[in-house]
Amino acid sequence: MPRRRPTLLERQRRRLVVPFLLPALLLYGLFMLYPAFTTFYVALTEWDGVNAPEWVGGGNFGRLLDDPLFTSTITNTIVFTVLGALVLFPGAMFFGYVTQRLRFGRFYRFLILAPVALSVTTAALLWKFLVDPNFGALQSILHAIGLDSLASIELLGRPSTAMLMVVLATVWHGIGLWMTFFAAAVERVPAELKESATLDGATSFQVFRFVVWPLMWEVTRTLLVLWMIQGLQTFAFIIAMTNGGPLRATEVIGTYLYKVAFASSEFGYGAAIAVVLFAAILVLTLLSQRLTRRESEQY
Amino acid sequence: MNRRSILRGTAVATAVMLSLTACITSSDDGDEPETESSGDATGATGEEPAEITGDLEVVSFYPEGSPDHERLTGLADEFESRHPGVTVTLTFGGGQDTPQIEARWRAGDPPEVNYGFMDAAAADGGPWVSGGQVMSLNDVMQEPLEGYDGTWEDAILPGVRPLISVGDEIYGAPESVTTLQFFYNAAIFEEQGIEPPQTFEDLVAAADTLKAAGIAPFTVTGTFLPYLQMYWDYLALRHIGLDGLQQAIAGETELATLPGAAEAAADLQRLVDGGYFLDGFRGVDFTSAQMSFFQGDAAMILMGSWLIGEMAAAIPADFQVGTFPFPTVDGGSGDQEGLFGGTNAQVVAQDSENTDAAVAWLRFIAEPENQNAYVEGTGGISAYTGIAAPEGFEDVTAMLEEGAAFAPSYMGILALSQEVQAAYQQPIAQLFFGEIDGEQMLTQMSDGLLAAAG
Repeated sequence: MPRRRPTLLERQRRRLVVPFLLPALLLYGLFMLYPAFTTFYVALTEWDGVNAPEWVGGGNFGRLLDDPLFTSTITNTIVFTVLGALVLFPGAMFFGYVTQRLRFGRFYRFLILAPVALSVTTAALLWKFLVDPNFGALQSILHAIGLDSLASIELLGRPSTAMLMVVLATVWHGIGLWMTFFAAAVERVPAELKESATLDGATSFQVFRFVVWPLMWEVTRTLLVLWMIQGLQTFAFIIAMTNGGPLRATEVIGTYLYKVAFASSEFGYGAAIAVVLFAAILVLTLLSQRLTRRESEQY
Repeated sequence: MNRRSILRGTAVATAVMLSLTACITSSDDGDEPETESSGDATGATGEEPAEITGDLEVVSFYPEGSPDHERLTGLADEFESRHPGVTVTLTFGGGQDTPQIEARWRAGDPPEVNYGFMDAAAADGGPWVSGGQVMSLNDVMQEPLEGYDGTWEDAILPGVRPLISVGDEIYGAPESVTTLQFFYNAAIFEEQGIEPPQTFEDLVAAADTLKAAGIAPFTVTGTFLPYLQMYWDYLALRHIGLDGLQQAIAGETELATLPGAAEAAADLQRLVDGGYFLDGFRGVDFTSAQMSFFQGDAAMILMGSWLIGEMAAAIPADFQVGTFPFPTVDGGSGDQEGLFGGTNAQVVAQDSENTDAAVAWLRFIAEPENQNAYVEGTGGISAYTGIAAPEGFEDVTAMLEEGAAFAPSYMGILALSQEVQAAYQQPIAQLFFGEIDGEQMLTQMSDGLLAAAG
């Protein structure tokens, strides 16, 4: 069927869109596209941030392949993201579901959401001092209740526990937001479906598992992608709590990139790391979208 | 939308973007400074000083609310009263805020007075100096300085001058000197009948006495590697010497084969194996470690001379602190008297808007009255001649007066690549964390430095 030629009015309407879009496009171009393309360019140079960059082509990417420090940051970043998801999602889902059913649910949700209002630095320092072996409140409490052996554990000073502490701090700070998303998803599930299941003799867990959970899947997979992006980009909690230590056990791509660029003034190499991170996020997002796709439930 | 419309839209967008870019970059073209000063602003030639006006932005190494920021605020008020046309703004730019200041330099909008931006250890002074972005102070340094005999350069302690110069060119004005040494709790030492250790064996004996008395001999942070590194740096300086260590860091020689290297590693392992460090040190940050010293939980801390000024608000009124240099080692083939240290040099950004006021500020900071107030107020060490050293640092000033140079703090590795830093620091941390022994530390460090050098 031949394509219909747009009428004069339609063409004028389309033209009218351009001036309205232009300011946003300009800002987007200036603050998003321009820096992004500049980063790609810088990644192909050796640049100390002051003197003129020197073209090295793919040299920085070749160096990445031989950099054991970078390899270890990839492992740590994956550990952070997976560990974080394992703590965050069950917790957020639990609070999102349970606070819907409790009498003062809104109040509890407010309490869980409250840490989000703190800046990341404040939250990180709070946790840092909470577990400080010399002056930390946690250690004092453990001593007071006779758990001296537990109190002597340097939670941020041991490679085996430091990452877990950073994950707990990150999750504690943000879980309220994720809980709110899940609570909203639970609210969307029609009450009659849950009532029918209950009348059929389903327990609360069964109602959640077989009725609510399948209907929340679309929201969950979106949140999984968001967490994955956040996890791969993680930076602030780690820089404030451990600075990548102990023994580089919490050094992730974000903190390594920062140190390469700003402490060692190797902006070309830092930009190459940023490009790889960008590519990894893009590929993993597409992959996870594909792998978690299910036929959506209609209700 | 037809092709012509798209082209037209693109052309308009491009024109607007180009004009925006022009707006942004035009500030790089050496636009007119705000200052209204003219001629020589130093007032050093005997003529009436030129009037200085305009805004002056000074970077503070410590944040607002800290004792040092308050000190600078007082100085800024005094400076403004002397120069009624000048408004001084203090901007925090220490620690992790340094990249923000660097970003402003790159954008052509640097503060006038800054810390850092000069690496005296590098042959070319580092990228900012070699890039022509740091103003040379050579000419003004040859002029007389109020309160001192001779020129400004003459007023600076001879041992400090190399730290502010690159070749024959002076780029920095020292605000103070920093050194790394032991601080000790004098009351605990007196109680336990311990004298400040002279040799490494004395240090170990003192540590044993303290440990037997239930007092942790040392406190240190396990989360900030440069502070762990100081123990190795000193042992390596005493056993190996500065030149050998610098060559090893540069990958020019194999560290493990250097005379004294094995002994230095063995001594460090001895300190770690002795259990002399405060319980939990692996998990505390440096503030907490320093606090534990002033709370009497540990008797000694190896730290920079800034310790007293930095912790002033937290030091109990009756706390008695003493200092002693890192002890000598028997049979060491290195430098037994060497001292790690540096200077808090301030530089003027070439592209800043009010360089005259900046130079006037640096001269003002150097005045004897302000230097004496700095020493009394912070316990820091002045970089100028004739200024009395704070108690415990008299030897440092005497040494610098004789022209002896410092070994560079942290062996100057903090500006090097992450590969070099990791190769040098991680094995030390692993030894402190009990994961490897001294021999393994030495091998790993040696191999790592060679690999990092390519």
